[in-house]
Amino acid sequence: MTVRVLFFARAKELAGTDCAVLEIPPGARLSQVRQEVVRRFPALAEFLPRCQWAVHDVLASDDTVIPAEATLAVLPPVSGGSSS
Amino acid sequence: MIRLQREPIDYAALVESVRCRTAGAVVLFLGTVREITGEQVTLALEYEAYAPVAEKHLAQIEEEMRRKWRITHAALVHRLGRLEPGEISVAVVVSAPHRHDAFLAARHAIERIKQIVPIWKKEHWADGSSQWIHPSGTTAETAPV
Repeated sequence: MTVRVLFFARAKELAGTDCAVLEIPPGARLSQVRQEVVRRFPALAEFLPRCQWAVHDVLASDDTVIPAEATLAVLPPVSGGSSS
Repeated sequence: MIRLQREPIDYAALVESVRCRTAGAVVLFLGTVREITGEQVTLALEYEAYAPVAEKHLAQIEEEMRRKWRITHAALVHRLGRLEPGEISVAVVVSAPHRHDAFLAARHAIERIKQIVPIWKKEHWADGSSQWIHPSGTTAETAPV
């Protein structure tokens, strides 16, 4: 099955794209998606452990089961708000 | 009320939007783009968000404010896109019957925005380099453009 992964900020810069479509086994968990992302985008390997993931806009953990056609987002450590 | 927007933040209009007869206090916090960080000079900041989650988490923060303090109205607004020094990146406006609740709720809101809302900023420095800011740990620098 396929899933769509969105990249933001530094993750987008390292991946060289803001979006990727990945093929993963049915019933795969988030940890497997992460491995596939690292395989496709080796430049993300070091940065990815600092990122959170959202699956269909809900924060997910390693053992979250990924539905087919899901949209996932890689969310780097946040830095909004003011400059201080 | 929560909002992400690319247009400049009209803080006067936001203040008016929370003022009412039952509130005896209105607190406004503005986050603005600072030109000097240490020895580096900022030309511009670029803000990017993952809007679906950012809006959800902003709404969650407003809920927290209402749960913890007695407030009347609140507005949390964050700007996206490219901002120059002096421009307003974020506004928190709170009205409450009493100032104690208004101050504490506003303080809570800005701290939580910086903790949980997926918004990121990229520094464009005067020396031509740029850098996404991702706190706690190193922030990798990109080559000058």
